[in-house]
Amino acid sequence: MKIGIVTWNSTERHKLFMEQAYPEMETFVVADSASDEEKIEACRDAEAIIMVAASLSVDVLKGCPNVKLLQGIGAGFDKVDIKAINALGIPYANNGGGNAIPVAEFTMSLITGLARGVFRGAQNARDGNWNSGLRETPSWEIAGKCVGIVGMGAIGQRVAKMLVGYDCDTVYYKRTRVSAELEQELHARYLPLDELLQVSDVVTMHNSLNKSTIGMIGKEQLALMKPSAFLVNTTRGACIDQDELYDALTSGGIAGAALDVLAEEPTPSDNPFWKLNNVIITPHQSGISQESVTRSAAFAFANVRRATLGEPIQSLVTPE
Amino acid sequence: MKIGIVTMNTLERHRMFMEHAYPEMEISVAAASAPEEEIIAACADAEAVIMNAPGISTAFLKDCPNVKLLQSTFAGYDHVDIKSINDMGIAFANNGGGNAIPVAEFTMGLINGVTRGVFRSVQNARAGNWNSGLREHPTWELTGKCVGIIGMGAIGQRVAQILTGYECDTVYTKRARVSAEREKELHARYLPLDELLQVADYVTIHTALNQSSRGMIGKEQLALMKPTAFVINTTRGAVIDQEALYEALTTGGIAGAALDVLAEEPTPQEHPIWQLDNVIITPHVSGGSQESGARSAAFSFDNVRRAVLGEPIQSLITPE
Repeated sequence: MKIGIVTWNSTERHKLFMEQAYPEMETFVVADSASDEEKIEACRDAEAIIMVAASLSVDVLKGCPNVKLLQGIGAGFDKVDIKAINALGIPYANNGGGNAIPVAEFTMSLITGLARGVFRGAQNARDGNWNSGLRETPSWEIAGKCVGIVGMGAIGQRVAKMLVGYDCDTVYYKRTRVSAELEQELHARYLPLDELLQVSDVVTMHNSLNKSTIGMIGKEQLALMKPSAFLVNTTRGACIDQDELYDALTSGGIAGAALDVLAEEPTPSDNPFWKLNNVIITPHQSGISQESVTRSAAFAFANVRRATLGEPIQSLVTPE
Repeated sequence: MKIGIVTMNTLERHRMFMEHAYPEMEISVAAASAPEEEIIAACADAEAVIMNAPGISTAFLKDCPNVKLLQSTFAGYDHVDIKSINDMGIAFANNGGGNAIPVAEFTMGLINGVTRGVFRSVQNARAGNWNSGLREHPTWELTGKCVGIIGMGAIGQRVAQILTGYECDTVYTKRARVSAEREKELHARYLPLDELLQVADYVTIHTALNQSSRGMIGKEQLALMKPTAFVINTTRGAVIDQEALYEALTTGGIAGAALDVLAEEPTPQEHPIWQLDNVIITPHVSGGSQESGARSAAFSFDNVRRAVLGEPIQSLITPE
């Protein structure tokens, strides 16, 4: 069972990842930074390819005729031309919700950190500004507030689950509603996007980026939000129109934002978002934890094994 | 109904506080920073005094013969000599759990943040170090970990309630166990302190500071903790032996700490703890929120009204 692995991982993380491979697998590893020729050379005989936070051109796949599955490690697939890959007869699968926990927990850190003034408090303390956070600048509680989840897949559901203990009002938007049973379990009620934006004190984005979600939060949507509301983005920067977001943040349209993702990454130091003190930026890291590396690796190796043995593949992603 | 208020609030916050007074109350206000004569002048005829400032001397009460209740708007009472107040025939009450929500949510912001590496990644992003947080430093998940809560009053219970959504193992210690029913509701099981310290991945402290809890986490207790564990303190700095904590943080005894409180506040810039990159410090801000200001005010005015009318006082604190 020959498996190609195109990876962006550090050496140490790669070692952790490879612990999940099956003994019968013969693995060929190539760095994401390698040329297409090198990637073809490594994966030529592979029956499946695992893409670890890496990119792979369709040309490389054309040079690997035995591939039965292209397996991604992330949840997102906006950089993968699934239609062209499928045209080669190769299915594409994502990580089966393997990073739902780390992304959801990261999101909760951003929500609690923003609302309770933790980030500002840490900054004030470092600046020797001991009391200002407490006395001069207000902070809020999540209890009793309304949190709006846009996108209710594995990640959005995990966020909703964590919110249950906070005694807040959880609303969500998704193209297709989840079951009434799941809604009840998650204490979450469905609202159309426009209504969700109007009532939420925190809006958190968990839909995938695709043609229908690019720029889905634009001028009109931001204008619906409360001036006191926060926007949290841990999915893809391009889901939010960046210029409009900047405008809303600087004109009092919304109160603040926490962004693990921006349209441009790494975000250059002259990006105006860096200057805003109502914005928290983290370097697109919500999805990876020690535990999720192992979990995603186990899922990926199990899935490519299924593919090579002709068993049903899980978490198949098809073009819109 | 004459009520004295000794306050450190800003004008705006004081205005919000006063909105919760009853119409029949005749209120005189003194600033906590005012000389004792002014405080006595404000409270001389008062039937109850609300103390909206921590750590002020209560010696002025000897000149206020009609006072039936000294009502604090805070949870902690380590600065209050309850025995001598009681000896004057004056009862003392704290804020009735009025800041349980903000402290518990702040605590979750700290626990979530240190686990998922959010504070470090905010720093990394700001330093233009876009990828290092993701690739070089491990981060973890809270799901599946063991959280140990020391002190299971209103705040500890709120933390436990929030944790029910996180699928972690919650253990707690308290001088008197909570009811089996409550334990079940909070998914929390009782452990003696020593055992809690050995199994917890996070130790979060929510006990009041008093003679028996001062320095309760010392060298011996820190040595019981896992080298991978974090300690979170949002109660009072003096509950932890500060030198032993510094030692554990710099010798690999524990993985890190998040401290909203330190023994010395404001913590001076030359304090060595600022140099540690495994420590997050916030300036004792966990208990204040817009909502808790209103909640503590409402509780305080209700309670002093009860005291003046001879009804049972709530949240009475008696000396150990």
